[in-house]
Amino acid sequence: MNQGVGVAGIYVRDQDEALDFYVEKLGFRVHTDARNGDYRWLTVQHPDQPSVQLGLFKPQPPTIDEATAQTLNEIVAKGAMPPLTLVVEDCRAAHERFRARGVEFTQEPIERFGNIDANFRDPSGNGWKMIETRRGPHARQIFQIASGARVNFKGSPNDLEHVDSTGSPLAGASVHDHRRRYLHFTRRGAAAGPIGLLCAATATLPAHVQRLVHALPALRRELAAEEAGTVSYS
Amino acid sequence: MRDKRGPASQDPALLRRLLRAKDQMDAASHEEWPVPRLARVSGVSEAHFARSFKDAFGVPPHRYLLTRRIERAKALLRDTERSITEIAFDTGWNSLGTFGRIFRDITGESPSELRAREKAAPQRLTEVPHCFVSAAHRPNLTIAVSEKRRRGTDDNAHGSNEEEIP
Repeated sequence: MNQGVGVAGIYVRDQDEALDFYVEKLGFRVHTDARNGDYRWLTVQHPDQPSVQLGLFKPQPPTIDEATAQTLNEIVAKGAMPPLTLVVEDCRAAHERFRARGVEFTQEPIERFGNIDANFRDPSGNGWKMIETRRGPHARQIFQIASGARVNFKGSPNDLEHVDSTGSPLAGASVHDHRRRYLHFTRRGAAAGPIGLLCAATATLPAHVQRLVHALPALRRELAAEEAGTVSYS
Repeated sequence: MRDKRGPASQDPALLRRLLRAKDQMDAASHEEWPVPRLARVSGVSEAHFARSFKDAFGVPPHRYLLTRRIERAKALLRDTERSITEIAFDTGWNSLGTFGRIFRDITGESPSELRAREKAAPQRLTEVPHCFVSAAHRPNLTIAVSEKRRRGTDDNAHGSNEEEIP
């Protein structure tokens, strides 16, 4: 069996409205819609993610008292509930599609660190960040790096994790010039040699890469030499 | 005076519309957001907007806008090589002097000091989506900028009264 999260719920002000939003506008499917008197257990799921249900729950008696329900409705309407993220294959296309269906976007798609993201809210006020991670193309880029090419890499720091997991061990890394955000990695073995990676910012790197970055003064000197034009790897 | 514990409950439908004004300031904090424009977004009368907004979100709308501008300026100082002048104009100030002064009033250091410090110290906010990182860097401005300044520099007289001060 698969272990893990089964249902995670959000509060909505009106379950019919929420159902319309998540199913008709966002393309979720109804998983369970069960009523018991005034109480309605309503969950939806993403078509690509059958193991997780998103609960659309109305704060109401008898599960909670009237005053608490009012407070929760206020909190949701203020946009103060915790962040939610929706991963999509193509952020701009999804933005076009959803906007045409009347989804209220609070941030247009923006590209940063190789990812594209946009923000929208559901009718109740729950805020979603819609993210296109672009893992695929960058993974391919990393394989090109592994074959020995020296490339500039502009991608998500998450993809640098991928370098490890796809079997191209990082022997080291160094900041070429912090302000220009060059990262240089070397590989062990037959294809040993430095690889230039251009990344968004060291600040956004995974912790293990940050450690490497700060632990390799020798590489930093080497790269300074490269910058000065006294050494070339091509 | 208002109860320290905060305002009484507000209509969720009103709050949802006030949230729209806050969202629009978030999306375009470099733009001008006079009360009539915000009130229109929220469908609230101009007379009631500022109080309703403060009751909902804890700060007056203009002060909220300042925190977003400063937050954005801090991110640009940290993550880009753009000049401080460019950053000032891009984040919505009409004068470099006003930007520098309010930046210092709010953060306690000048834009160039912050840039130097951020460049020197590695950040640990890895794997956190951008918006939450930026929220973590948002200045927590609980008093008016003018008040903060007065408390900081009691001995200095301030003749000017710039429009950016809420």
